Amino acid sequence: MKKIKLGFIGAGWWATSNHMPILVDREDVIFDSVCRLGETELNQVKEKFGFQFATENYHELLDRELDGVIVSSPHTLHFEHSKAALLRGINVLCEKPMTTSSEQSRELVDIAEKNNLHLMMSHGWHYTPFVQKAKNLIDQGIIGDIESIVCHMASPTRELLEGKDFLRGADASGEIMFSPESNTWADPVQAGGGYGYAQMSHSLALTFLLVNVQPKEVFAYMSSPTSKVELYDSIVAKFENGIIGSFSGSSGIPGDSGFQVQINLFGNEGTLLLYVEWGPSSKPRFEILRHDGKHQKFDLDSEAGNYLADGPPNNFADLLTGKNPENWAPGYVGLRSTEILSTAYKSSVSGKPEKV
Amino acid sequence: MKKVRLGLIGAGWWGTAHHLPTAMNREEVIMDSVSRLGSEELEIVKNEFNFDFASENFLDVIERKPDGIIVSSPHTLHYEHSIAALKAGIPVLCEKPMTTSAEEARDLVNTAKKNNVHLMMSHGWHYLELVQKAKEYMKDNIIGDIEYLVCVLSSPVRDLLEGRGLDLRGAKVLFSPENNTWADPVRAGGGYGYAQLTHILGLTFLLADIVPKKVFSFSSSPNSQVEIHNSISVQCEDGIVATFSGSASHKNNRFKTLVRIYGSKGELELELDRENTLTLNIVNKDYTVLKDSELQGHKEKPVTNASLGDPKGFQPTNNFIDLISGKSEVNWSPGIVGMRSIEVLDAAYRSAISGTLESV
Repeated sequence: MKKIKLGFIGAGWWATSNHMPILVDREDVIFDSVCRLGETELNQVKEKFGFQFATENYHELLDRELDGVIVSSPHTLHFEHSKAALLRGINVLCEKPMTTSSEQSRELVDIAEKNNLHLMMSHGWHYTPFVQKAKNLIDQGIIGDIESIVCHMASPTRELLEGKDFLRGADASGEIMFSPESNTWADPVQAGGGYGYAQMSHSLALTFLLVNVQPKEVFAYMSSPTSKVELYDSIVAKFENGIIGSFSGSSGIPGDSGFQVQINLFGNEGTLLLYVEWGPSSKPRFEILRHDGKHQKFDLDSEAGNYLADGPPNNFADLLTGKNPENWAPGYVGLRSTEILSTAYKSSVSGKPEKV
Repeated sequence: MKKVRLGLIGAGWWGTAHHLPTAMNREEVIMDSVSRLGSEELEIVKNEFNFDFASENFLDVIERKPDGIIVSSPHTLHYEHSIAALKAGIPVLCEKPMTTSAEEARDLVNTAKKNNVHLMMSHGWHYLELVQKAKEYMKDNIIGDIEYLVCVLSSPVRDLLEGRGLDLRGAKVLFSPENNTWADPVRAGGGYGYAQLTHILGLTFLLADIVPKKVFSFSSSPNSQVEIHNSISVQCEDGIVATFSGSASHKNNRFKTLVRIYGSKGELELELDRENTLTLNIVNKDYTVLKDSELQGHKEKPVTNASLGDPKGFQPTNNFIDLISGKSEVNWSPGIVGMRSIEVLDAAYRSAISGTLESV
């Protein structure tokens, strides 16, 4: 069995409550090194997960001949950390949002490609069986050429973006080491943006997993009624080949509501409806309506849309060990998502459509 | 029982398939006068619906001063026909889209107000119990201050907008939809926006008292002269933002309508689809979550293409007759709903051409 040496840059709430606990029991993964700021917190993480090495300086981590690095630092640091790893020839699993500028995301994808390295984004819904089925059917041409994209996401993240306590004590999933730091999400400088980067990065990546189309021009209205970063996004976009799309986002649902991710793809031979819902009263849905009447409707149980948080770390480890050659969230989904979001943020300031 | 004399201008497919059969079944209605072009077709309509009078000149209908006029002519003629009636003091039930310019829509609303006459839009969904319940919730401010809206409509009108007619699936009609009424940009004024988005816009403005100010939009027309896909971003007064999407897709399938309104206290979600549902996702004062509220499991019968299938007939026609006969005082689709819809669409069509943000 091939064993892989992993390093973690950024060991805050999500890495310590998700990636590390999921991977720590895998026999083929060596927890080599971890990096974060704050000596006390760093040592806590080192102890808890049995890392061989811990540092506050990520360059020292990159010196350790790693097979892969998982980047889960704050949004605006993803680029610096991922780029440094890729330039050292190390494969990267990068948390969303990939970066906060199109140029940065493009650079990461280019470096990974040039050096023949894996670059993966962290998106749990890409491991949902009916999502993978949808991807395969679209690739086979089930709805023909894509003409229009409608994508909406809502999730209970209002308090997080308002800078309030988010998880309110013990998380439902059990023990957590660190709570989300409020300025990671609610401070425009540190977060780079609000709901878009924090959450729509998921619905956008999912869209671009299904259809890899190049955005050209973007217009956006955003609003921040009770926060410094935006709570709501109304984004419209034009793509290559005259394709148009709308991308909508809302954090305006109560704290313990479920997630709504609704993707409607309209093609010249049919329509695909994919509702990935997660949480109370969820009704996930996957339907294909073809113009020739050969419709397909898939029966899904109410949990079929649950977020599969173990998908990304396991897919990354499997890629590096060679157990699974398929990257379900390749760099381009992060790049396309950043292209839409960073251009949307630009447009929301300029009040004009902006070119990608 | 008060009897009302009814006139209709534009007796094509929709008028003869929905408005006239419904009106003829109401015993308080006197089928007074009808106007359309084409003397042969006009004669057919006059006989089929026992009209006292028929003319190819719509002004002849207005001169007879009926108690109400239904306007179901092609889109670009709604204004001319409706304004003439309103100026003569005659109440109007106007098919959607109200007009094809915001200025015209405002003129209709102002004229109706000035002359104190009813102006009603024709929107079948506004009569679903679920929609009226949603309206009540919104009136009670149950989701708090409105902050954001997202509305998606797709419907089986691709053939119609591409100029290939509409599959009426065996329905018996006097006239089929005329291709150029829908597929010719000059005649129709636009495509999916005027033909269909008007429905979800009407629904939105019925539920949410918001005032659109600025609009940006992209549209696309892969195989048609009018657009079949719309992506519209709107800024309203008070910093409220909205997204409207539309697609003329999935032939031979039902409408898919989803309106989500997010407020300071939660969300109201109305879905008209395989089954119709109204979901409330709100925080109350104690910060607990109420879901589905008292309407949990509430199911309306599915929306049909024609909004007919209801033995009582087409509800907008009934509402109009109730209104002009004094039987009801509630107008479920007042002119302002149509006006705001047109304000969004007019700006959206301008934006799609100019490539810039347009003011309403």
